[in-house]
Amino acid sequence: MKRFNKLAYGLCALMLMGSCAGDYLDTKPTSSTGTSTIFETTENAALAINGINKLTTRQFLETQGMNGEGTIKMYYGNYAGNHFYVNLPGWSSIINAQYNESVSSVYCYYPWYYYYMIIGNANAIIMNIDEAKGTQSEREFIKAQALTYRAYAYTMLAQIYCYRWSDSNNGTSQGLVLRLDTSTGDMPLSTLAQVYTTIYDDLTNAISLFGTSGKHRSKNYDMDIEVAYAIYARAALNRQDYATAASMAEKARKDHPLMTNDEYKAGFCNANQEWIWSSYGALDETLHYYSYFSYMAYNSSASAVRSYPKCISKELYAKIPATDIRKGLFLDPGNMSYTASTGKAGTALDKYARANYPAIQSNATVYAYMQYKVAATEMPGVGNLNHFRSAEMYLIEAEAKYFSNDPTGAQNALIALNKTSGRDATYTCTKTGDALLSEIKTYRAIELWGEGFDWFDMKRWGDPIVRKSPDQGGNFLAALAVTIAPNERNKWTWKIPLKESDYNPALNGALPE
Amino acid sequence: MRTEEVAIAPKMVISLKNDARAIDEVVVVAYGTAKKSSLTGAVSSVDSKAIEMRPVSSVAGVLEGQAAGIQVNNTYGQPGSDPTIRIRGFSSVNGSNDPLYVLDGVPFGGNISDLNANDIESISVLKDAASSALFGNRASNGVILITTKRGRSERLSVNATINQGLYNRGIPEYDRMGADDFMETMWKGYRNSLMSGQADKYPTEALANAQASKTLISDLLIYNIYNKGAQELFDSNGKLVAGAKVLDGYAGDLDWYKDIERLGHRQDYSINADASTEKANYFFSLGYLDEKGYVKTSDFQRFNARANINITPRKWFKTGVTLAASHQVSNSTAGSADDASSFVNPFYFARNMAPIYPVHLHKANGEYELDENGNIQYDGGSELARPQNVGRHVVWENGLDLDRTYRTTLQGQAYATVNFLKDFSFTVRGDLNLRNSENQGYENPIIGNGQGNKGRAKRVMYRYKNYTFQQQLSWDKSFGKHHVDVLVGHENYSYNYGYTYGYKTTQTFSGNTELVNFTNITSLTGYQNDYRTESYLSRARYNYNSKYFAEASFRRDGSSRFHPDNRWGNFWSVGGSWMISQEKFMENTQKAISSLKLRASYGEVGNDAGVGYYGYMALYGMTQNNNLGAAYKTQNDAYDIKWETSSSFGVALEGRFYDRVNLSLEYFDKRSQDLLFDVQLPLSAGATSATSASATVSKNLGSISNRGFEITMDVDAIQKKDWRWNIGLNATFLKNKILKLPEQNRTEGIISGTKKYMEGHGIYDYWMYQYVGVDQMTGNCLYQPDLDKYYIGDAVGGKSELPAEYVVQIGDKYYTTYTTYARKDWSGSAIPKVNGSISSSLSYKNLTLSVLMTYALGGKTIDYSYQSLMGVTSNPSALHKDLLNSWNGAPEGMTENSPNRIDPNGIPVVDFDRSSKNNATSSRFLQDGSYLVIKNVNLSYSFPKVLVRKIDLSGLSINASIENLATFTHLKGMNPQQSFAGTNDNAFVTARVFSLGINIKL
Repeated sequence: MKRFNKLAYGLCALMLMGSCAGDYLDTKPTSSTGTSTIFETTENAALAINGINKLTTRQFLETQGMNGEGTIKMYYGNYAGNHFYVNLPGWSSIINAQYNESVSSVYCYYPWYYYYMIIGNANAIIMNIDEAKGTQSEREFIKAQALTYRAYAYTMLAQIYCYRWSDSNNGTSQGLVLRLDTSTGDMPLSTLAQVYTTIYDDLTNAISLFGTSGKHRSKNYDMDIEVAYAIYARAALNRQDYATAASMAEKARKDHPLMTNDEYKAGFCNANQEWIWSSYGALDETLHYYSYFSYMAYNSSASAVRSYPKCISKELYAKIPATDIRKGLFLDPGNMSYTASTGKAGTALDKYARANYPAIQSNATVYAYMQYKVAATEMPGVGNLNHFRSAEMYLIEAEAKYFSNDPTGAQNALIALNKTSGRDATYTCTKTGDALLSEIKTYRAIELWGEGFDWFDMKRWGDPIVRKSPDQGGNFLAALAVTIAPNERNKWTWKIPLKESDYNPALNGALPE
Repeated sequence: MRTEEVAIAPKMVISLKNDARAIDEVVVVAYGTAKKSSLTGAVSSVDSKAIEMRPVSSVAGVLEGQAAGIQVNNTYGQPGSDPTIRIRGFSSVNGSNDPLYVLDGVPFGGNISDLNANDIESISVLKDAASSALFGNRASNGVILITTKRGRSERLSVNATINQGLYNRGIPEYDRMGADDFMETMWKGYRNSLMSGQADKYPTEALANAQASKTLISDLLIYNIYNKGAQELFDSNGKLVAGAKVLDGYAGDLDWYKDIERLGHRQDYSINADASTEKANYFFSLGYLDEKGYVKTSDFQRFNARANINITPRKWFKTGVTLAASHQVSNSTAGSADDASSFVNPFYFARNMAPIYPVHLHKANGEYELDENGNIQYDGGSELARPQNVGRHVVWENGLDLDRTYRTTLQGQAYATVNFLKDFSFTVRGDLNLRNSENQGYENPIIGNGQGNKGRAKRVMYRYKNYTFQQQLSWDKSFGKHHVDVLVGHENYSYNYGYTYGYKTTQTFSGNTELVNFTNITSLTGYQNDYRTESYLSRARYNYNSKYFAEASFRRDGSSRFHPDNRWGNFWSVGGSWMISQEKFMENTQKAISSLKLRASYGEVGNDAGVGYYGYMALYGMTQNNNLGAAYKTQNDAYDIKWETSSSFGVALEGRFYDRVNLSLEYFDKRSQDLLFDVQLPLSAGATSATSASATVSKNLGSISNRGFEITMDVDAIQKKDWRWNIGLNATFLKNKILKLPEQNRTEGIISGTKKYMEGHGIYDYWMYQYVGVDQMTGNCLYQPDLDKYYIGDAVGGKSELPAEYVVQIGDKYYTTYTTYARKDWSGSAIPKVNGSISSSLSYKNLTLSVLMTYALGGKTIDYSYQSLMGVTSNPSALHKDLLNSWNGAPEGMTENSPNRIDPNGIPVVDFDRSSKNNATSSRFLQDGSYLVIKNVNLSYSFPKVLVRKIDLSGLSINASIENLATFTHLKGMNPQQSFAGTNDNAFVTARVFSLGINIKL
């Protein structure tokens, strides 16, 4: 029996020893890292900046076409615009802007989701970077980059979810949820004027920090001082603060000479001297069919291009002078036949297009007026995606100077853009008054076609969308040949999505005075 | 402690086991066994006899309809898929409501379909906390205890079973329009949109009609499969002209299901042998299952082997080993509700393909366009610019592509028990479960996703390892009529998995799907995750004279998902039961009351599955940009979170009357507290996910109750020598209610898709835009306007204007045509008011016919598939026949003020432009989700022993079985069992399986 007693004690001891070591339950992830680690050093915090860079070009929401910045350009800027034609009657809800008030639609919440994700990441950096180990200069540079991102996101949100400035009663209309820290709770809406004040403050800070840091980026997809200037210019133009817009635009483009004609024809998929800021793309970081280039690039193997190539409106095309290299970036049907109602090329036109642009996929459909401006570097749609380039800055200067009663300045900006650059060596501009404004708008539409400006510009100007069907002399499919007046569709303003309003009761409060 | 005596008493009648039946049988419970009479908690069990009847690949499927309080959804017709199971309702909002599976006493990490159903001795379901408390962590949703067979035949016994079966689709397709109706409906939708959307250009009906007739095909449909020209097809009113018909060449080529579905084949072979002596027992088995589903490219093959060996070399020492292995090869087809709009999901593609687009290429005259070898060719959509699903072809793609998984599992368990000091025993048990799976994906370079990359291939590897180590000390003692047993123990559980993912594009040779055959790496990544728990447990049981029983348990668990300061939780239970029929005062009633028992219990258990493996940490996800490291926020910190707990109270009366009626009544009240919850923040707080547009933080908040009654009864209607008939019925009445939400959400609730969480309402209560009916003057759907947020007419401070274009005034009431401005309100629940099963088992001598039916009454289903078929837009897509009754002009005599101006059962006008408003998600699309399923019909015959012995066998039986014979629902095509949350989308539906089997015993 004694033996058994000992055994019993032994077993009890064994049982106690069965308890696990103190750290048995301390498990650590391998595919992610803790926030404290990220803000421990400036070296790690740079990962968080590159994380935002990545957010501008990655797959989102498991929904094709949702790719970060490219989605804003394609669905919001191009599809809904005045000069961009694609034979997609099934997309008429987007193309004809019928979802602006569909508060549960993914198209209504995507920009909100995407830009506030950038803002949230930028806020975390802004709030935490001061404690990170590293040099003061490194901290300043990272903080400046985060501030620039935040300003950019608010600039874009304001254009989508707020009235155009001219309808805002000098900025007293509804603005945005202005989150400037890492808070996550309820927050009321600001006014539109407050939004622009914040954008200006962030950019002013960023410009100052970029300056004192003495550092510069090495990659075009990173934020730097000239990007801050460029965002400032775009924001100020939207705010109709023309003096600021013109001066910032000039600073932004100073170190970025316009593309040469060869660069212009190289497909808008690799950064060059003119590019101020872009997103990175490569085959080993491909977005597959989600990417902007899988919807746009004329040589893409994606069915969104092969079956539905992107075309310029016939009317705008007609306005490009024959001497302008930009005329060659679209398929001129000339006398060759195509199906009038849709734009689908006949045999001769098809052959002609393929002979001139052999990169068109063999199983792709050719359309009259289809574009060759944008190409992909790899299939189905890989490329670097430009967001700011000097041409936009010249056009901002032209528009700002026009509205500042400086027609000569405006003319000079157009001449610099069109003639000096070599895009149209015969270009001259002596127009004034409405004719000058109209010229600025036309060249803005031509120069920036397909880059996501179309709808935003029409909204800012308060011009109606007027798309013409073949019967009316245009090339839009009947279902897409609509007229949308500036005061329709909630004044072209997307309503705040349910995904915000359902969880933020403070939205219902009155706007600040 | 002779646990090998688990053997369940052979029963006279093969039938479904009910709670009240066979009160003295031994059932498997947490960490041991118990006589049914001694149970203080709610346990239901199913034995091997009931399992053998069912042609299922996942043995958990047999639980459907077997007992009250268990809801099983087993309608995913992909072979090898596991059912989803809910025990006594839904106690977690965020996390898993799945029960814990325990195999041979140890939490099981694999898939239930890893197991061979023929190896299973019994399945016990522990429904309440008192039964499952000893499994403390992760037991809050109930526990399913699976026990494998052991050797128990006195002499060597060999059992062989062969089943052959056929597989087809068990729920029919929705009623969709044919080509003629489709053409006319599209014409009408187009014409109406021209008039409503471009009234300036088409001010008269005649102009719009002419434009629609002229351009419907050329602009929108593109294909003309008729024997008339595209512009001669319609008369001036949009009807097909006389003589217009689909060209003969298209006959049989417009139904896309035809080329996807097949008559599947099921084969199941199993052989096992067992023997038992005083010193040792063993069981081993081999199994092979081959299921070819009703969708081509969906199949499942499985090899199983198992050996259970136990030896008792000395009276005081016992040890044993179990080894089980499986190897599986399955081909999958995307067909889950998550893939509801994937181009390779047959239920999306074939269902929605407009009936004018053929599977194959045709010439203008309708004849097949043959290739140079004279074969018909698929129509990939690009060739003829098909406007729907261009460049996609579900039949072609699934035929060329590959989605194959190889899975290998190995499970080993060993234990040793030492008995000492007469009443003590000590057991050490270790269990190791290893699983490897390799998913091979390939997408061809000709059509579909792989086309743009000239073909692409991926490999997804998972390596799982989980182990459990237990030490248990027990003491078992009888003093006269008193009996006590006490158990204390320690347990740790570790779950680790590694993930490796590789993706390459650009194929070199066709026909080779291996990675070496691709030249560009587009992704190569991998990581590991760890999850661990540690537990201390104890239990004491007492009984007096097998008449009064009491039981208590206590357990303490730690989980790696929580912060070290909040990691440990305490769980416990108490219970008692009283065998009333054993009392002296019941002696006179023994004839009427064969047995009667009252039991009651209360317990608390935990759940940590509501948060991820590193639930408390603030995380940045790792990625790369330009081959440089990049990180962005993927999780907000939640240092305060702790175990979600679930408490349950139950009281039951179980009895057997006149020796032929079993009846059990049980009331249960299960409440979860401190729910682990992803609290939705305003989206402006910054989303932490790239796949879901939501900003969330994990919190413990709120409480949910599941209260209800379970009734189980069965009657031996006939108890003759040759004839026996048992009829059973069970019903569960469940009421799910959120009891508590955090302060901030108390007034407004928390919206989650079509549902809203709010105190006093269930977690699956719909909160939807309120549909009123169709305006008979305009054909528009009318919804109740949200007058809390919007004003109509004169401005009201703090409210926005409801734009006049969306307002309809009828009498003094306002309606809106746009859900954006509509009011949301409660719209019923997805949870059935009552669900259960009806069973019957009729025997004549050795012939038995049994039928099992399951039912649910009173839940609602939101059917997205139907909603999509009801939308008519310029994007051609299949249409539901209900649209033939759509509004078509104001009825005769209808005026603005007619009392019947709103038709609540109407179908709105077909109009491309108005479709998104008229067919918006609203209470209109809620369907009655009640169903009746003839789950299983089985006819079996055992040959008489005398006959069997003559051919030197000890048993021979044959059986014929039909699984999922028929499903009856409110709406043809709908599968109300697709999800417990009541959503129905394009996904696999139930498979119907016809099976013939033979069982030979040596």
